[in-house]
Amino acid sequence: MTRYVIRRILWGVLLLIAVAALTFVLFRILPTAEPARLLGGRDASPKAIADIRASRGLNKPLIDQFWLYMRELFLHGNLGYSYYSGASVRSLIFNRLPATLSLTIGAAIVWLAIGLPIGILSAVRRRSRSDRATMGAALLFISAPEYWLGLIALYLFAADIGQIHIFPGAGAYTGLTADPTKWFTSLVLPWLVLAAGFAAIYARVMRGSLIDTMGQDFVRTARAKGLSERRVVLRHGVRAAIGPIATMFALDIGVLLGGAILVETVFQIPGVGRLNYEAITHADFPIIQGTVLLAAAFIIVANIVVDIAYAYLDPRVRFS
Amino acid sequence: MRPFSTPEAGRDDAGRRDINYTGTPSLRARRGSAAGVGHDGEHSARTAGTATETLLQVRDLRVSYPSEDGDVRAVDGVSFELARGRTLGVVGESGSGKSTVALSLLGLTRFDDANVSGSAHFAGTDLLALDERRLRALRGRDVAIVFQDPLSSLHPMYRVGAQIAEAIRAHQDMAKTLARARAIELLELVGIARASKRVDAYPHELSGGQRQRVMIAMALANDPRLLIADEPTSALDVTVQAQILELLRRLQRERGMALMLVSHDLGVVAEMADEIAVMRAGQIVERGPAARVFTAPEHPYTIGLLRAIENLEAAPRPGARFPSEEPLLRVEDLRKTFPIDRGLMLSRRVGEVRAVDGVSFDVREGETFGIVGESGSGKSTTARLIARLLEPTAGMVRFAGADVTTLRRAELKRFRSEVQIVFQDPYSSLNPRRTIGAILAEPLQIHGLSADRAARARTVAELLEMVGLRPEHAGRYPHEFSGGQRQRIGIARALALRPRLLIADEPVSALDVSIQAQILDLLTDLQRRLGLTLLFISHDLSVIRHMCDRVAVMRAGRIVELAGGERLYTAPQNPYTRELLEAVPSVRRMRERTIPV
Repeated sequence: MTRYVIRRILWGVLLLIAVAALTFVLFRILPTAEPARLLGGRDASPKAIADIRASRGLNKPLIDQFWLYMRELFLHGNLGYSYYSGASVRSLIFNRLPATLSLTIGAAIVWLAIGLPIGILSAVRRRSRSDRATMGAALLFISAPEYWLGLIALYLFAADIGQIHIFPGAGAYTGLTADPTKWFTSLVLPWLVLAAGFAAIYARVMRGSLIDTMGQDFVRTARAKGLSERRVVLRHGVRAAIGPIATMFALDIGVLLGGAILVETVFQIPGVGRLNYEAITHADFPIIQGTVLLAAAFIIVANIVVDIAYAYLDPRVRFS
Repeated sequence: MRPFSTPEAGRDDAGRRDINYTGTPSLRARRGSAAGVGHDGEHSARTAGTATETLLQVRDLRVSYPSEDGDVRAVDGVSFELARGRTLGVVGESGSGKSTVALSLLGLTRFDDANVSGSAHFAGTDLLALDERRLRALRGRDVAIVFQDPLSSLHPMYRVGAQIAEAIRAHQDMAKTLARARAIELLELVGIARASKRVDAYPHELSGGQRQRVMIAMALANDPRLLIADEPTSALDVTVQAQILELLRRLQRERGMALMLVSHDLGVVAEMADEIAVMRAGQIVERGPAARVFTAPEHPYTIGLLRAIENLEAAPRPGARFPSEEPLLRVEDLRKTFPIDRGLMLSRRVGEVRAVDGVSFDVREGETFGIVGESGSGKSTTARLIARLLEPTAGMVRFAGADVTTLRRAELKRFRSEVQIVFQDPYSSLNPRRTIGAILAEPLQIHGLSADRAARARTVAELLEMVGLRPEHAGRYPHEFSGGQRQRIGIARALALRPRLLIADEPVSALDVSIQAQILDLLTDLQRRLGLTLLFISHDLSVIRHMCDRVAVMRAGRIVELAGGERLYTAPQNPYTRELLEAVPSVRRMRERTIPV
């Protein structure tokens, strides 16, 4: 097993190098916004733009720029400096990471706590009124765009602009260490909004997976042993049905850790997603490259975790 | 809210029936109570008692399932008794309702929305009238059940020891360590070697026979008074089957258990049962002592069933086949190995599976040659090698003088039209998305054997008639046919190209006994008419005996014995052949042993 993990990690590093190279090249070659022009402002003279380009090293040959970037990245862990602010990309990202982590992990707990039990109950009480109601609601939440949900949530519950003043409005995020209560209350709405779609998906998947599992022979055996229905459903049914959920979960977390742009923007949370968004509007290549690399790293790790988790969950997979 | 509750018995949604709801069952549902319905947990006390005390009395049992086209009556008025220490064999073909009877006794059909009526008195309590909670106290304790397929019936993610311990702790107040020790004892009881090691195995790490022993151990965990075995050996090899049946017999004797054995295999039931109930279309058509039913059956259905088996078990009629001396097919030292690869980046070979390990034989033109062996013996692989669906690792296959393994392109295509295969599973070997007319016409199209569409349609019609189906059915899809009919279609497809050699790989194993006879007769008839050479592969010795001129017995990739005529059955040379013959549960042997009442 350890050899397997090491092998996956090595391939992962290779993949990261490829991702770094690809993003680098893409942004330099494709006709996106010209950072120098953007930095120069509206009426910048060609000379001013050329100066800006020189100062950022953008006038060097592509190969040189690439080599410089790679060397800095893999030998010094230096992700470069923002064209805009000159700040170290690495420090920018690490400053923003806690917010993204808070948002992602909190939302994950919420969607698991809501989605899984609903899915299980729906599977057990299949075709009942409650089943149809919850699955219908799930469909609604999956279809609703996050930003729309976010705006509705703010409109209804935000302290500043909402109808009922419960939670702080957008932009109220403070760090956990700074003010735990405020940290918590400012994240409740974002958590719920982010979790809504996922909870709905997980409920549906859990329901489907459990319905399949409950039709299996070993469930019949469990009942024939005289076990309580609760034990049959939870320890036999859910245990076998949880596989696809675990897989999905690792991947979803991996993706979200790269930044939940929409929710972060609506609620003005200073996370990696928003950092990325702002960098894109300014064509701030170093930051974009940094965040893309971070997102790729998270997804690679998530994939490795999924494979390990699956082998752990299903002994049949283990010994191959 | 009780989300996990299930419908209560005693109240019927359809309001159809009247239940003898006793209201005061003498069972106690409390966990850990060993004082159920006279349940004393002492073997000696039980076996010393009256052996003919009626343990189970079923009256007018009816089970129906709601469906789109109205209610499906799976069980339609079944009544029988079972005494302590006795074995009842419930026999019937697929769809007869026998498994449903077994499941409904434990209330397991309720989970599929079944409507159950009638009564089933077990030691004074009507099982069908019990609510779920009280029934649960019975399940796995007083009445236990062993299912057909142990691989799918055991939870794949828990160790077998844990699953057995769970069965114990569901009804007895026992600490985990103690339950585990008891599980090891049970595994030893059912004959699992090195039980203390095997207790931590996962189901997929055990063989089929071992898994079934685990299921039996689980069923016996709480000393049931009635054991229901629903096709306990159908998924197992013949020799393993014999062992499991012997195990059941021994355990029953030792514990004085009543055994209800459900099977489609009359041979199995013949060897085990004191009494037999023959089921058909949800009803018992004949019931009585086993000896009587087998020697002097009364109902036409039973008579027909026994006759079909008799025909299979009897020596073949002297055939009108005159095989030539020329070998049409010659197999020389055929070998096929599958590699086992391990390793990370660079896979390296750590071992190999020798599926076929040096097989040689001839098949003469016009003869029926049989290959018999258990699963894993390599017989199917041999068939595929001969048909060149697999490439051999070594050795040669000569068909009509030409080396098959070196054929290319045009010659290979012609070869394919001369050698055809009929596969085992009629349910998965036909493409479900095509009409049978299209399936049959395809080989004609590929080989350009018919001039145009009209000619093809005519040929398809001929083929369908040849196998006993109607040409009008060409526009239907496979799922609209029964298993036997689908196998006929498979045969028709194989014959479409008028092959010289027809390889039949377990062609009747997935079919009911009465249908088997029809398909085998069809094959014999077609062989005679079309001058086919038939290579017949099966695990079923009776079928082979019925069909084949010469037989090769395969084991672990090798032929251990090859003989013609009756010699194999009357004077087998190889010990393995003898073992196989001994293991086959036989109706005829049972009859011969019985003194008519």
